[in-house]
Amino acid sequence: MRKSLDFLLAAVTAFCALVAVALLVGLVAVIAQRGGPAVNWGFLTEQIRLVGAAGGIFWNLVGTLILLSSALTVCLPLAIGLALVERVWLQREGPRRLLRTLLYTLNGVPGIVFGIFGFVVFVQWCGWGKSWLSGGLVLALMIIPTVAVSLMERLKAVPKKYVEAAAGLGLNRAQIVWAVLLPQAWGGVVTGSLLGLARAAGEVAPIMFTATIFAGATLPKGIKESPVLSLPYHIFILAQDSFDPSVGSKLWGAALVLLALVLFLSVIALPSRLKLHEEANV
Amino acid sequence: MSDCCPPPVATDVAPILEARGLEVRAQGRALIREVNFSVRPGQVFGLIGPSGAGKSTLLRALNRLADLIPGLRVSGDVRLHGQSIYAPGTDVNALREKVGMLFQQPVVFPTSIAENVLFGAKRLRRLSRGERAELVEFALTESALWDEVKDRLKHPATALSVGQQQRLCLARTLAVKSEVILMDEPTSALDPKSTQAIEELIRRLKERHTIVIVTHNVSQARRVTDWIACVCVRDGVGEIVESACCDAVLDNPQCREVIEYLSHA
Amino acid sequence: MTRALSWFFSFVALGAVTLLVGVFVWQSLPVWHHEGWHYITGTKWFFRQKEFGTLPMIYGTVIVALIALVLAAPLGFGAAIFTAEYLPRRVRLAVKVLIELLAGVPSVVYGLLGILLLRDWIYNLFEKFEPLSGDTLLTAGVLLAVMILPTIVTLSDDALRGVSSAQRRAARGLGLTHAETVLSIALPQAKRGLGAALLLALGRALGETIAVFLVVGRQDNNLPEHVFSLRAWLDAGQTITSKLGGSETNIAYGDHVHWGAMVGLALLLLIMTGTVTLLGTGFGKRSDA
Repeated sequence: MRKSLDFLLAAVTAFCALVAVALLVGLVAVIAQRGGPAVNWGFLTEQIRLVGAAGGIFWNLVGTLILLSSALTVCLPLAIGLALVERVWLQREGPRRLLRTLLYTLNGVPGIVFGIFGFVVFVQWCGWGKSWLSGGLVLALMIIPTVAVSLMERLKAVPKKYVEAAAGLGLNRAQIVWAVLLPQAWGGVVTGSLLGLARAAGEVAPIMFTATIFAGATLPKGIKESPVLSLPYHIFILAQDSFDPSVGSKLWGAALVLLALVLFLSVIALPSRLKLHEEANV
Repeated sequence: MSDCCPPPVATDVAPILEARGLEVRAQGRALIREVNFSVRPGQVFGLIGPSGAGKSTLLRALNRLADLIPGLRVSGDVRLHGQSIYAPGTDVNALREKVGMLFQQPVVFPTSIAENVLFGAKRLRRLSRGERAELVEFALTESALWDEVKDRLKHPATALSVGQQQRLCLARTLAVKSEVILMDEPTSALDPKSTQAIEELIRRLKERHTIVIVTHNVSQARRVTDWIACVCVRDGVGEIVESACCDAVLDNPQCREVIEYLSHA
Repeated sequence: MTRALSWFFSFVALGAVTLLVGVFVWQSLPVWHHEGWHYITGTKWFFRQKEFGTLPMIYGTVIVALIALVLAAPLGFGAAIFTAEYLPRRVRLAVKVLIELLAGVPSVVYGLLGILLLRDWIYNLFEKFEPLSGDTLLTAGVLLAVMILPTIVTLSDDALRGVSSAQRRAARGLGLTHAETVLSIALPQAKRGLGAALLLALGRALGETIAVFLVVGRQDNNLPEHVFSLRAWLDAGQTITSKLGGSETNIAYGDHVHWGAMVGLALLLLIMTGTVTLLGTGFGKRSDA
């Protein structure tokens, strides 16, 4: 009885793990297999033609990169500021916990809520219409928690002895931040940014009302009424109403490129995350 | 074998636990080798020696807890009542039930005191309510904890002092009716008073149990053990270099490593 | 200077968050005036008739998320038990990395798979119940289950690994089997963390937009007579997120009440996910104590 329970638990949980891994690996395999044939140099460097049935996704890629870089530029100072306030400048545990809770909650806010927020504030109130900048700002707000929390964890892991040694040399808090804390914890900013970008790259909901259109945009020339194309929105639109087989293969191709972009960003974030894992397990 | 002290147990009694050519390797490197000893029923068998010599590893090989540490390979043999515990088909869990273990740091489970005592017992045997209550009282009395906790059996065990926690762990092992109790430096985390309590317990428990104890503390070894095996490092590998009755090893060591160890301890 | 800058940027960020909540409360005021509590309890949404009842969408959101949770929880817990309690450290890390990478797969990619594969499977599988199409609440639920599976696995695995191994060793030392140790030591001690994993996954399921949008059918005013009617799962439905993601958002802005009703949906969603996330983080935290 006890023996069979012992065996049963191992078998059942092994089965669950196998199903979970198979599901997720199978998903990537399906995308790769269907999208693979469509992806070639021309696909990446040509612009869309015939409502997605021909041509490539060049401007979609460019648009996504514009959105990502503007989001990162806006997000970094805010996230670093928040992390420093939480770890260095706030002295009492109460406000610190409040700030952390706020960040965790912000992290759980659905993308569509950010999208509606951006639509109200930037598209309507600021009168920008659909603009790359509204998209960048909205995505920046969305990935702040990821970057800030990642940096906070690293700051926490900086050994106390370094801080004490620096203080012993007569450095003040601000000097310690620049000389010890940020250099030691910079990996947290990098990891957090990569993960944040990986998330932002694939999101449609925050940018569908604020920044991106399906066709007819190239490089933005200003702020007002300057939308961009983007990769996830492209897939989103084509997926809804396309049963044309030639669109189909382009569609899978676009999905494969997006998936590759996102996985690439998460994979380069991996080594430093694993390091943190190892340290946490010692 | 010296005749400095009378044998505490008749040597003609069959050993309850014996190691034969026991060797433990990790990543291809031997940690301890050629370990041979016999423990008679009712004996307190001490393992002393410098730290890092592999005493704890040796202890874990005696009830196959070493199986749970990845990368450890045990060869040679350990026999309980003459039966090999490494023979294929051995019920390892039943073995650990008979050969219990007390760790260096007390490990209590985050439940009540009574639940901690019953933690193993109620899963290994079917117990009625009455039997459970009896068992709790029996085990706690045996481990000299009953008077201190009888009014708060339902309280969380984590609130006990470390010394009390260690006695609770002992009670837990007694409740599953272990014949042999392995103790890995059971008092090194405890204050002098609790240490004294545990030592008194060891002396009392040997009427019904056999104890193998790893200790760093030579005076403790003198106070509680009947027989001592000294584990020292030779050529980078732990070995039993000397094994004799307690006073013989401590007062008249024969072997260079032991003399050196005792002079530092 | 450093200090001032840190505070400045933090206040900008906090200001944005405050503005976000403020915008949703303020902009939705017209619909609360117009409908009162009927906004939440009303079962009909016809914007031309200025009738805004959100109950069918709340129902859709909750049902889809629950289907996802019911399917993903046992599978996820099982997988986490296996990675945390049975796999050697290196293999465990490898599996965990794989699963975490897949947690980052964009929802539009899941949606694409849902629209091109899952939809047909569901339709064929349940053909004898005569669903109108493969776009159903169930389809959305199943798709969401796959999406939240990595979240559940990786957070539960963390929770289980958080239980000290000394406890496990002590239990094995008493003669308990591996399974008994898992069931009596690891699971009970990790239960808060496991609960938090479920709540955070639920939060993600409630707020997921794009994948659900693509397969849920976006059928307004679809509320079954019995809340727990299983047949209704095979009908098209509408969730809060799929409504917000639709074209009605663009039409609504000119009209105060209609726009208020749309923003109100976002506010409801914000409250739902916020509550679940807060509960989840608070729940997980206290397990350290």
